[in-house]
Amino acid sequence: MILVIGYGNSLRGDDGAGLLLARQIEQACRQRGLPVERLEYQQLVPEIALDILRDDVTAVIFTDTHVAHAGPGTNGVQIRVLSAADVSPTVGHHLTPATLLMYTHLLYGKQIPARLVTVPGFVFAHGQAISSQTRSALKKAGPQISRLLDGLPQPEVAANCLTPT
Amino acid sequence: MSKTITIDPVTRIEGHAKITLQLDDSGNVADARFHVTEFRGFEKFCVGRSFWEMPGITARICGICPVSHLLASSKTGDAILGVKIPPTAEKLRRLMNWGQLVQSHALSFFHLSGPDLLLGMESDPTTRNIMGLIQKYPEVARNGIRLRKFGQDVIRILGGQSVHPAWTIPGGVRTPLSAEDRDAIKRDLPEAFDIVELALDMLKDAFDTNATEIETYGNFNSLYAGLVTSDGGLEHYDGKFRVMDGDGRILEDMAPEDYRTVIGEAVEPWSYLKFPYYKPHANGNYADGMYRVGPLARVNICDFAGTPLADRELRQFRRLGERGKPVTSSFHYHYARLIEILFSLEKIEETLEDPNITSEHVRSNASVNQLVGVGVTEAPRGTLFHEYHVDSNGILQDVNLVVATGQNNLAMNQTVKQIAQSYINGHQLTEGLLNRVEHGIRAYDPCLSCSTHAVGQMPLHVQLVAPDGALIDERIRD
Repeated sequence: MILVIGYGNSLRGDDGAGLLLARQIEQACRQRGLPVERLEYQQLVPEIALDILRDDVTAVIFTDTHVAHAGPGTNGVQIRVLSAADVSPTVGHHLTPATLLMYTHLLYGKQIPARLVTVPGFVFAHGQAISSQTRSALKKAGPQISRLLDGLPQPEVAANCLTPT
Repeated sequence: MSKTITIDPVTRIEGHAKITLQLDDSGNVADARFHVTEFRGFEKFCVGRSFWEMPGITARICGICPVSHLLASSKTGDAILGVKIPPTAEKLRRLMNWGQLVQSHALSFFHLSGPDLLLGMESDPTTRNIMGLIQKYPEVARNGIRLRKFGQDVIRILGGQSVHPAWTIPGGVRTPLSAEDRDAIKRDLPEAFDIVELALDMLKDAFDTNATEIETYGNFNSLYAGLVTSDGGLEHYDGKFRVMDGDGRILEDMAPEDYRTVIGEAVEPWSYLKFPYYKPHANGNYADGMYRVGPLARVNICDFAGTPLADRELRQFRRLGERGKPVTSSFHYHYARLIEILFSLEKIEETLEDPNITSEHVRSNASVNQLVGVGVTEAPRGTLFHEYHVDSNGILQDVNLVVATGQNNLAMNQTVKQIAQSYINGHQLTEGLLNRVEHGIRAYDPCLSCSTHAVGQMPLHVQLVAPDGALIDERIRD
C-alpha cells in the first residue's frame, strides 16, 4: 500500500498546496487500482513513523510546498528520492521526511522506498486561497505524478524491499 | 569595548528567533535579548469572521498544540452564547486537553530536551540531537514516540483527527464518546504510565550531572501564574486564575475572565513577541511584573495535584525549593512536565470510569447573548487567553490572544542573561555556551508559531559584533 502524507498549513496560502498535491496523488493511485492511503498533517511529528511502520505500507510519498525561486525550470512540481541518510541534524517541533525515515529505520528496522514531491509556493499570507502560479503548477503535475508512480516499486515488489536491520 | 553576541536562530524550538548577548567593556554580559523575528498576526486575520469559525481557525495556528486554541476558543464562544455546557461535554473537553498535555510534553521531554539531558550540554552538537539520542538510547526515543501516540490517540478518538480536530465548539462538543472508544483509550493507559515512570527515573538521574545547570538555568525569583481548581488543586481547563509571588504568597485568586485587571502587555521594537506583565508590580518598569507560566508555574501555584501518583511526585518536587516557597529553577520545567503527564494519565483514567462519560447530551444551544467573551485554558506551555468582541450577529470586531510563550518572554530573557553571565568566558564563543543558552530557552518549550506564528528551519548562527557594527567573530551551525 502506498502511503501519501501531505503536510502544510491550509490557512497560510500556498503552504497548504502540499495537501492538495497529496489528494491528486491519491486519486492517481486509485485510477491505477493501486492500494493507497492519504494522511494530512500541519507538520510532521515523530509518531507518524508508526504509520509508516505498518506492515501493509510498501512506499511513502510525502507532499509539501517549496518556496518558489526565480528562474527557468524551477516553477514546476519537484520529485526527490528520499532516504534516512538525508536527515538534517537540526530539528524543531516539526520534523523532516528524512527524519521520519530515520526513525522508522533506526528505531524499528524498516527501510522503505520514499519520495518527496513538492509544489512551488509563492504566497504564504493568511488565507485559504492558493496563488494562480501554484494552482497552475498543480494542474500541470499529472505527467510527473504518472512518472512518479511508474518509478515506485509495485506494492508486491516493494514488500520484498523491506530490510530490517 | 562592548560587544554583541548573536545566536540566530535558536534551534529545536518552534518558530524563528535569535538571541543577542550584550557585553560590557570588561567582557561581562550586561544584557540579553530573546528576539522573535517573524510575524503572522492571526488576531487581525480573524476580525470580520464569525465567532463560530474561531475554534477551527485558531486550532490551525499551531500543529503541536491545536487543542489549546480549540478549547480556549470554544470557551470564549460559550461566554458569547452565555451558556453553561453539559457536564459530559466539559469532561470530554478536559480529556482532550489531558491528551494534548501528554503528547506535547512528551515531544518536549523526549525529542527536544532529551538529547541535552542524556548526551550532555557540552557534547558534540553534530550528535547532540535526536539522531544522537536514537543511536545511543533508542528505547528512550521509542518511548517518546509511544507516549506521544497515546496522547494523539486520545485527541484523534475524541475529535476524529489528531491535528485539527474542530470537535469542541461553542456550547459543548460535536459528538459524544462511545463505550468502544472509551475502552480503546483505556487499553493503552498501562504502557503510558510505565513510560512516564521511566522518564521520571531518567530525569532524576540527570539531576546529579546537571547540578550546575539547575543553579543557573533561569534560577531566579519571579511571580508564577496559572489556573487552579476552586479549592486550589492542579488545573488545566477552568477554575481560578492564581498569581503567586516568589515567597509563595498568593497575590490573586480571581476570575480568569478579569485577567486584564492584572495583566498588561508591553511591546518592544526588537521583538514581535509581546511582553505580558503583572500590572500591580510594574511600578514604572513593566519588567518588574515578570511572571512565569506553564508546567513549573502550575505545579508551584497549586496546593495539591489531586491524584495519588502526581501528589507523590509533587511532594518530592517541592523538596527542590526552599521550604514553603516555589521551586525557582527553570531547569525544573522538565520535572514539572513529567508530573503533569502523570497527572493527566491519572485524570484520563479516572474520567473514563465516570458512568456519565458516554452520555449523549454534549451540547447546549443558544445564539449570541454577550458581545464580549473571554476563554481561558492551560496550554502545555502555560495559560492561554482568548478574548473576542462581536457584534449582535456574532461577527468578530476585535480579537486578543495572550499566549503562554509571550507570558514567559520576560523570564526567557532573564534566563538567557543568567546562563550567559554564568558561562561566558571573555570574548570566546564556545559550543558549550551556545548549547546552554539554547537549552535555557528550550526549558520553556516556547512555541513561536503560537506567539508570533513563524515558520522555517533553524540552523544556528552566532555573531560577535562590535558597537560600531563590525563583525568580530561568527559561527554557523548547519
